[in-house]
Amino acid sequence: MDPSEFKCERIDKNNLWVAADKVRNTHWPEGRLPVDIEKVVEFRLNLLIEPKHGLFSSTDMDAYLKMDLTAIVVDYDFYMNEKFANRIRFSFAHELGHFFLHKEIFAKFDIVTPSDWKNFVRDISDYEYSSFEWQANEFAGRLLVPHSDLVLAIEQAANIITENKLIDYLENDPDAVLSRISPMICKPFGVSADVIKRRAEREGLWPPEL
Amino acid sequence: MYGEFIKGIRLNKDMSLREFCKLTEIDASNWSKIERGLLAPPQDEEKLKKIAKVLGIKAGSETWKEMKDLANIDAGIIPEDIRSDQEVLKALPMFFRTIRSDKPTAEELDKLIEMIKKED
Repeated sequence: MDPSEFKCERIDKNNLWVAADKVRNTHWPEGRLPVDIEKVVEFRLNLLIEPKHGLFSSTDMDAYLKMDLTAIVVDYDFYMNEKFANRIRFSFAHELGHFFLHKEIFAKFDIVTPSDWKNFVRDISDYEYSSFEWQANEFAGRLLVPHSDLVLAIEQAANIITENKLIDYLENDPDAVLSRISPMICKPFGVSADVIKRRAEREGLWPPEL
Repeated sequence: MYGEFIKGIRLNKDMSLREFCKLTEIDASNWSKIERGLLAPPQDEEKLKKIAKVLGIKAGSETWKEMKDLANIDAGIIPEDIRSDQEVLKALPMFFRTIRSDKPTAEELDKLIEMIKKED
């Protein structure tokens, strides 16, 4: 198949969410927060973790799934430094998105040498390429932020808003309120405030009905 | 052999690669290669003792002896300087998530191929 003519299969967001929920329920049955994604990768799925020095500085990537699906390569500094724990957790979840959603893609192309691979990356359209990334991001967010836990967290936030008589503020500028509360909500999930903000919006939980 | 042996014990103890490397103060990139049999295990007695301690292996026990024997046997592993095209291909990414959300440049792709060829 010619990469320039390739179309990424459209996956409905609900199906992405079902896929992420299924992976979480299967491989993280403990259900505790945060989802221990590193444990899921290394212990439950038996994928290798390969820290690589200079990955980010040389290629602008935090992590990637190897084409033979045996390992996730991660930037050494991000992996070892607690400061980047949330970032690398999301990267692992994102790569699992590719693992579960896209692993058959490469079999469709005649890629047998590194040069073929380079041509494939060059020739695939930016739009189709970004579709893969969007799907993996959506999968990752849902994997790390279970819907029921997010609903609970939003309900608690709504109660605080009511108790502090901030309903007018919420009605006038819901986006600002979400930006204010996301940093508080995100901690138990082990994700960034941006991920929580996106999940709340994507899943139609914001603004809450008061 | 040594790498698989130690990895088995590490996983049984529910210890992640990162946690193990922090406790033993070993470079996680190198240790990952040791576990995959791409690098020779440490031969230094103190380092082996530290690894054993972190994994709860008692010095002088049967497991300790097995660990040391395997470390000796694998001492001759010499890393391959240049990997074959097929090996490089297997180690390349399916997809990229760059910070700027664009596809990598040709230069970045070449750098990655070189890094993998040399197992930097």
